[in-house]
Amino acid sequence: MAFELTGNPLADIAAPIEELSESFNSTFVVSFGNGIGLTQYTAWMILISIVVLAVVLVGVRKVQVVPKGKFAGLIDWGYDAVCRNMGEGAIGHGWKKHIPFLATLFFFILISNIIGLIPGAKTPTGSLSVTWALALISFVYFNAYGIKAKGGLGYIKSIAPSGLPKPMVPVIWFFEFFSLVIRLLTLAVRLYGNMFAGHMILGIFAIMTQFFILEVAMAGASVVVALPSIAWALFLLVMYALECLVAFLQAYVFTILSAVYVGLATSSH
Amino acid sequence: METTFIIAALKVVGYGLGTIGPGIGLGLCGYGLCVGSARQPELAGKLFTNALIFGALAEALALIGFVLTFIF
Repeated sequence: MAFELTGNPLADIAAPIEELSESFNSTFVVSFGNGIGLTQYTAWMILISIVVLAVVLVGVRKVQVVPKGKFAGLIDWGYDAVCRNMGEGAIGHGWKKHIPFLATLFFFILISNIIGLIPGAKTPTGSLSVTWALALISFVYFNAYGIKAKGGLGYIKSIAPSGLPKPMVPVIWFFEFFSLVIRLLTLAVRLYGNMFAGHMILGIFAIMTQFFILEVAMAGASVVVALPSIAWALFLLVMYALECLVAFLQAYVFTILSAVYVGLATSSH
Repeated sequence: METTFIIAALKVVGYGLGTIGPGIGLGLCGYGLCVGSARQPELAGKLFTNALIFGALAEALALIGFVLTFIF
């Protein structure tokens, strides 16, 4: 990164921060002209799809009642969490047919979040386009199953909870409908915002760590000036640990909210 | 340049103000979860799912603010 020391610290870190925020734009890795090509996010997404496929295939290579080996046990544990916690806990009756969808969502988001934490890698979930696509898939899925379970008109009626006094129904229906449509936006933006902001913070902390060391190395200040770098490096480590938690949590939240929406759409009351 | 800078700064201030409500809401949600599962630990799993749902509802407002910062 280009550091130019002018004496004003705020002006000095402006250029690297600009560079950092530009690194989040989708740039073409392979371009075929006319804006068609492979962006860095698409390239990473293809790689992650392959990794997900490899992980799952290796995990189920020898399906046993009691999984042998740590790796197969880990996959089994993740799948079991999707089944018990999200399927049985959030959907309720008839949860078995939704498990393939939920498990795919969970493993894809989890693995892309975790791969994005490797320095130099980009997480596809840090791009709004990918999270919109994921949210749209989830949105269409639960609406389709709701319509399948209750019929078109029945589903529209069931948006408002039953047992309301007659004059209140249109008002409540409108609010419930609004909150149903806004689910598409919140699913997409929650995942994107968490991943993007997390990576931005990691980047800024890394720049700050580098800054004080460079101040000594380039401008020849005394060694004491470099001491804040230690604190920034510690902050960076703490935030990195937090991001590892967030990577798991956001995959979990996205999947369990999809499961809850499927459950709400298909339940009979 | 001056005007665009002020507008950008105001957007961030507006978003910051907009996070107060959802912040309180999420705090109450977590409080309820902790208190509830301390009183009845066997219900903790179910309470956690419910807490996530209501956390998501509270968070939606902050997320709308986040999007509006980008749009306008």
